[in-house]
Amino acid sequence: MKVIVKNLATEYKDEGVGKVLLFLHGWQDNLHSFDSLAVSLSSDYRIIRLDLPGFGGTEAPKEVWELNDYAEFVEDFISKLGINVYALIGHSFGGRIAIKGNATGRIKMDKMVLIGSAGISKSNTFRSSILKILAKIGGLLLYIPPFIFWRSELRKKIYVLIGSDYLNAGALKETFLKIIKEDLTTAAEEIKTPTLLIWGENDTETPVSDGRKFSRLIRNSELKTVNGAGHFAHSEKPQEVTNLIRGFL
Amino acid sequence: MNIMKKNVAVIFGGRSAEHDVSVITAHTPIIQSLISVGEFEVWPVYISKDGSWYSDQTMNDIAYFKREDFQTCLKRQKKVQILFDDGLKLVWPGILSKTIIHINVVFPAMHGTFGEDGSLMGLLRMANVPFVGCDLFASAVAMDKVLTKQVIAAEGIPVVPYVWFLKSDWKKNRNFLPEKAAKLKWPLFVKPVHLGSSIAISKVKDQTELENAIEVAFHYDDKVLVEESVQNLIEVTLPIIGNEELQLGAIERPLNKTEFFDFSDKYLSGNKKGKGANNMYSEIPANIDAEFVKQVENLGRRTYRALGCSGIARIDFLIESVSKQVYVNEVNTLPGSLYHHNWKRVGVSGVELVKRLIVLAEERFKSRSGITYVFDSDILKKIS
Amino acid sequence: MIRNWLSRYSFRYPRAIVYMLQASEYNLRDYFAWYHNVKNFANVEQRKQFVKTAKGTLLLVIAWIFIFFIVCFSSLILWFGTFPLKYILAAITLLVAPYLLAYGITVPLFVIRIFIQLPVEYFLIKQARRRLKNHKAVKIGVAGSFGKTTMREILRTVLAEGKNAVAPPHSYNTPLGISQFVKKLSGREEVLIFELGEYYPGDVRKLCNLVQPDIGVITGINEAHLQKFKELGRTAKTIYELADYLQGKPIYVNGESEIALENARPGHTIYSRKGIENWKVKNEKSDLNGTLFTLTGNGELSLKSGLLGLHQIGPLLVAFHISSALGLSHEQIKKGIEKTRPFEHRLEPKIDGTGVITLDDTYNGNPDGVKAAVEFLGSLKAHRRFYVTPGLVEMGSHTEKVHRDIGRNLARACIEKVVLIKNSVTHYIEQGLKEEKYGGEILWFDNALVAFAALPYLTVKGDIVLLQNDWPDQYQ
Repeated sequence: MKVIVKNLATEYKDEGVGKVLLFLHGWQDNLHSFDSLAVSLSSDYRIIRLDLPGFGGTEAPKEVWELNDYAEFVEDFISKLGINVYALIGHSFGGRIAIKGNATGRIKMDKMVLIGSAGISKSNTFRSSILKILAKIGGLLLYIPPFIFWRSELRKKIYVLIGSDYLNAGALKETFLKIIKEDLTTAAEEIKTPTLLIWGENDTETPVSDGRKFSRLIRNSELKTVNGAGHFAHSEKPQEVTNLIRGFL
Repeated sequence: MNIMKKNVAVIFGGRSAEHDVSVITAHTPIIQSLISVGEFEVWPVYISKDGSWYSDQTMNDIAYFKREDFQTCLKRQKKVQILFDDGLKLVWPGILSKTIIHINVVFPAMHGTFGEDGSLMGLLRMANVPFVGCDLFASAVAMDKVLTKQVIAAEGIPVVPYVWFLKSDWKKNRNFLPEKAAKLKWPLFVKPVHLGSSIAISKVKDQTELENAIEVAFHYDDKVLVEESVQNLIEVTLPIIGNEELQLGAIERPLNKTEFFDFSDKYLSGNKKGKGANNMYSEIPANIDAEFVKQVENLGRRTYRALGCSGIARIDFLIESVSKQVYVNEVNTLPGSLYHHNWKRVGVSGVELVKRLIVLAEERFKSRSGITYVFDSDILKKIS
Repeated sequence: MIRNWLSRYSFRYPRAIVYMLQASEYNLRDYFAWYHNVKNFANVEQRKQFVKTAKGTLLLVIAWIFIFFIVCFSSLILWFGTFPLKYILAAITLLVAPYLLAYGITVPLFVIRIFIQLPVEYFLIKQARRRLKNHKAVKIGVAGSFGKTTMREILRTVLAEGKNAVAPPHSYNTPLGISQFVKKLSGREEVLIFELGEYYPGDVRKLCNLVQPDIGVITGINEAHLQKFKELGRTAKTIYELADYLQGKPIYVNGESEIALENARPGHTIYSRKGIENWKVKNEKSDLNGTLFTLTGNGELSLKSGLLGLHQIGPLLVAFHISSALGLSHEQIKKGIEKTRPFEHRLEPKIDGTGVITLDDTYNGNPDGVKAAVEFLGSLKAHRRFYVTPGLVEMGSHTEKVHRDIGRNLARACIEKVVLIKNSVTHYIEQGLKEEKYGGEILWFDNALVAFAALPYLTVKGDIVLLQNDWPDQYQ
């Protein structure tokens, strides 16, 4: 199904009846990320999932967006559908939106679930500063012949090596940079909603240490780790995650 | 072996939502088949999403468009210029000399806006070059689902009850809608009238859904169609080729989970694996009552003629299987991949299909060149 | 031109060189012949890819070390050389470097062969020979210019109904391949079936010494590998090395192969589609579903096989005869023959979603096999038929005759469409077609890949496409 939100054709799915659970997916992902959760939860809840702007079947924003624009977008989406969100469930980048929306009061909800949520800035860790310096040196090297001939190919290889989403971000490059710059530590402290934090124990993108940090920052929260799961706990171990969510709701 | 081959230009891509589908149609089956014939020199003419024109025979291989560094490759490509005086010519300007290729026949393979809506055909008429498929008028009418219904309904061909309105009407007054739609039986379908694919088509059950769906449709188009949905529905489609004498393909029934062709089902799923597009998702020939077959074939022919189609077209039907009513739904003047999987079932190979279409194009061109367009007049002299 | 020449300096060049060595099975004559035919080294790996074997990888590493030294050498000349001709010298080095590499690579190859490969092989083969000598299983050796794999598969399938019968998979028909297979045997096998491959005189004898067969089958003799054998007499002699070894033990000879029959000796059992010994064939019939026939002699048996073509009856009879001799009941044999199916790429029928039937016979590249395939295709009357071929390789002095015969047979069988790949032999097929006043259509393609890509656009539902033979990269 499609609906127009902020003048963007937005793809969404609306399944089941009951209290509304709204799902927000991660960066470079789409609503199908929650397929297995939707199947098991839609028997008791109304599951609404949408493709965030720039991903899946939803148009990309026409200008550079910040996190707040995404939160505003979700707010508009909710009012367009005329729904009351009982629980907001966000994964990774979707978690950022949830935190931002909750803290600013844009998105009203009774409960919140964050799965491997992003939002703890990495900019001051040792590893990332080393990487940054290396990247700068590497970047300069690429202008020296003979490397200059293969510059774009080598750049791609390097980004693949360090596993960055940056190159894939395409038209959303600037948006991506703006969003990862924003640290949500202070926003998290303002959250009063009961919150469940679900983390895969082997998560390398947003390590469990981030989860612990969130559980300290968000007053009314509990952290559950999922054994044998990585960053995509909800699709890797859907049964465990479903049980955790059901227990919490 | 060195006989002069006919130069055939296949034009594809374009500034349309169906750019990628057009690339597929152009290669499977058109370019592949034309090359397999062995009698043609095939010139792929590719219009990029930003509207630049390119032509290079390396583009005869679809792999070119699948490359990861496709955009970079394209940037390095020299653009092609087109001459329109007395036939179509491709021109590559060079420093010392320029290369000119005189095109004998054009094979348009652009879906949707600018390609299938008659714009490209207008250009080719101006250039006075034979081209494959429907002419400007049929293309333009078939592109507008409302216009199609109006034309064929006037010929007594049954169509599903509908209403339509423009974006400007909608902006001025949203309340007229309930009145207009009141006569229709719910649930309803909402469609942008010009869009070739089923992107942005919605089926709605209540007023809020209807309003949201109309908003979506207007996001893509300035004219919207709201029509009744057919109960006990059997959807079938029939490809036809010919100018005066028509040859029918097999009646095909898409077997999808969804109630109507979804964009991804229509074009992507079928092409993922295997050779025949849509193969797995259709029943060919459709297993329907003989009486429906007769009606579909008869209405197909009448619709083809009523719209003045030539070359090739595909006609979609909706059958209410209990009340036994057959409706013509819409007409597609460039069926995706020419429906070559369908033609193959009735004994027409891809090679035979493109050869036939080229002959039809040349015949139409010849018969039209018999018509006088220019008259000597002294009207200019009379003006003082 | 320039692009072709520059391809010798691309990153792919060393890999291409090693690939060519590998694909020509390290036969230097084949390798050099191929090397001098290649224009652009960027695309020699068309059909297959370089396989990372120990030997191949080692050669590749050596090639890169060699290149490293060449680059160092020419740089040193340029940096430190004081003599005036240093530029010319450096240029010449760079110019001849690719050729130096192509030829120089044979030196380490030679070293590897003498000091590593041969001793290892010798040891492995000796070990395998000892194991086989002590193995109690009945060993069947299959030799011949063609039809070995099919014969092996038929024997294995039929014998398996009553015995523990095994055979090396794929085309493991060299001493080393067989040795590797022998290592995996449990010792409980009751029948072992070996293909004895022949490339040069003496090959079959060597394999017999290794395998020590108790029963021999000679499937036929023809022009396959004639390029290497030069004349058919030598091929026959090589294949009959099996009979020389077996002396008095049971030997089956294909009576449908003229040369094999001419060389047969008293005491050999002759088989053909007509029968074997006192068993006679009648009511034979073959179509896309398989082959049916009745066998009469000591009783009557009606048999059914999944294999296509009447030429399969002969080999099936061999399986019948050997199985009977080894104690299988007629019921078991009947069941076994029912289980025989076309082997991969050997007249293997496939039907696609659009209703086009493909007969994949791409591994069949010998004149008798081709004749049988054309005969079978000709018998399928209710369809429009396509015959696709690049012709046959290594036919030596018989090249023209063999291909003219193919053309004539195609014309006589009234095949509707003949698809030919342009190369040095297919025009003989065209000549043969014309001699017989061929009434169908000939379609030409520049290479097999283009033809394969075009086929889906040439065919319609119900058509039959026979793909005959496929050329490896080294033939043009």
